[in-house]
Amino acid sequence: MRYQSGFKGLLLAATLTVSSNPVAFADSIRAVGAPLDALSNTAAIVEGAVKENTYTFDRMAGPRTVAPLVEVITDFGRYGDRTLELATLGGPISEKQELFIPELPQLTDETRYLVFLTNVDWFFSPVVENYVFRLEIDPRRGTDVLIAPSGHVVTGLSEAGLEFSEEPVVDTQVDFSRPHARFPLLKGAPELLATAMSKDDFLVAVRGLLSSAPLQGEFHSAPARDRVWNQIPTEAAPLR
Amino acid sequence: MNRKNIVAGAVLLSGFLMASHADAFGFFKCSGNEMNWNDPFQMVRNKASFPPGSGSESSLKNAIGRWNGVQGMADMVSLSSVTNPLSFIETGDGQNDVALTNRNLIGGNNGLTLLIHNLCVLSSSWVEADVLVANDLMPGHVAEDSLMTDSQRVTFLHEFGHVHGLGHSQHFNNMRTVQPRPVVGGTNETVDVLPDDANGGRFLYPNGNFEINLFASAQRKTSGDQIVLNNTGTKTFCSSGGATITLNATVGNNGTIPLTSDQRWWVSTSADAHSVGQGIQIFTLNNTTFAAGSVSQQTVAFKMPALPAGTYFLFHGVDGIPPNESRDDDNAVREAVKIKVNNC
Repeated sequence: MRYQSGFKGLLLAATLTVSSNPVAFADSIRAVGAPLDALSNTAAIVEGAVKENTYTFDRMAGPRTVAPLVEVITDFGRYGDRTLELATLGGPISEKQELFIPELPQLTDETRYLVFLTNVDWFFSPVVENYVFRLEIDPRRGTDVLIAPSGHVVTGLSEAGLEFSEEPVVDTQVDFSRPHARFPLLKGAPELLATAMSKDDFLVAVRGLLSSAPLQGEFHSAPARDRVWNQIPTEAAPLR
Repeated sequence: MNRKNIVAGAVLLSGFLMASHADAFGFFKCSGNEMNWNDPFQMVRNKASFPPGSGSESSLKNAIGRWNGVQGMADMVSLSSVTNPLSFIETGDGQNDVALTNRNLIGGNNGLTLLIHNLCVLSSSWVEADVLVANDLMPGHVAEDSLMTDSQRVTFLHEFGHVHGLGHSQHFNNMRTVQPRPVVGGTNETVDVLPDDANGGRFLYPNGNFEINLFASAQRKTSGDQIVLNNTGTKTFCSSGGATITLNATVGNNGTIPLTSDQRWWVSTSADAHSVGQGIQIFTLNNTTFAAGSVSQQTVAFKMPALPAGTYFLFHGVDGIPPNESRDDDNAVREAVKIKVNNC
């Protein structure tokens, strides 16, 4: 991780590349509850490895933590590149302070992921809800399994929902002295990894769900340009 | 809840299984030190989002009141007397805001809390929190025997956990990542701080006080990490009794000391018979000990007593420790199952 080597320099060197295409596939985002909801919000499901998170800052897009994925392969949907940058809102906003949004998924350095890329005009995170899974090899089977952002392994996927192990396999508590450090496996992880659904079985289950909720739209690699990071419009509840 | 110690009429047949856990909460660190607020802080309401007397105002006040209601945890958050008349909230201005907004503007989330902290060197603390909640959520009461996935009250309680500096934790708690989240029993407020949440609050802001409180819940967490109802559907029996019934049951201790209590199950034709005296007791289990700050999920099996024909609501209650409980209205829950008794 490259961390805070001078915020002014970081500001000047703001490297966030923003698409000039403001057209969104969809102008509304539904609450993501069940997997079918997630799939209907997904443009592509890809795998890749994060090497090292970096920070950027843009007057409009704000502070971003950028997780660059390399060796990207696309399991479903349309995504043609071999690299991908996931720029989540959050990071240093000055030389003294940092923005952090607990609801947004955090990707750690030197970690492989399977990611559901959104098909909407996103601003906070390009990931569909918390559908970003760390890939870890189950040493007993030699196969990839999925670990959810909560630190629990995925044990099942159906139309009804995702199922997870009762206990976590990684400690997901963030220490801001090393905010992108790969989460360590907990004691007992090998036993839990052995109970996890394999990545291959997960993808088979996804394929089965796609007949009900096919992927649609395309992924926009940059956040929406019609927003300002530090001003969020309010809107009272509609009259019921 | 000051119930008499009625002798059980039914007989425990076979299983009494109980599982519990403790101290499972998430928080954030700087160089190994927990991050929290240095001082109590105020939240500024967006004026249009919280009309006086509205459901959204009630949801917000409930969340703040429930967190401040955790005994053993210092009161950290309060509502400012001033309101924000603008049509936006600003992050990074040093003011803690809370507002409703269109779901589209918070990435499809039910709620979003934007936290600012001092850069971490050896230690760090939170200095600003802005809370935004989707305006299409339902602000009303959450029924004790339901699995609600669009509750504004639940969302506010969750986001104010983040405001205090708690992270996600997948247990029988409010800091779970997604709804449904568990609620407590009773006809009053069901959205409350649960044991793991309270443990986290006491860890970050300890004030040395203790709390005594047991509650019953109609929900449970499965081994697949999902929140489900303990019992559902309709169970049919003969009026002569004698058949075996197997029930799931949940009791939480969101206090700071272990408590030993009796548990009772009763039926009533009234949906609001939250006192055993308002129904017909069908089973009792004496002297169960519930560890401090934990949730106990049980499975009990017993023989049904003779009952008049009819369709009943089923209640599960845990005796309180009167008069010391911090809440006395969450000790009994209506389970999401009906008991049908036929003449036979």
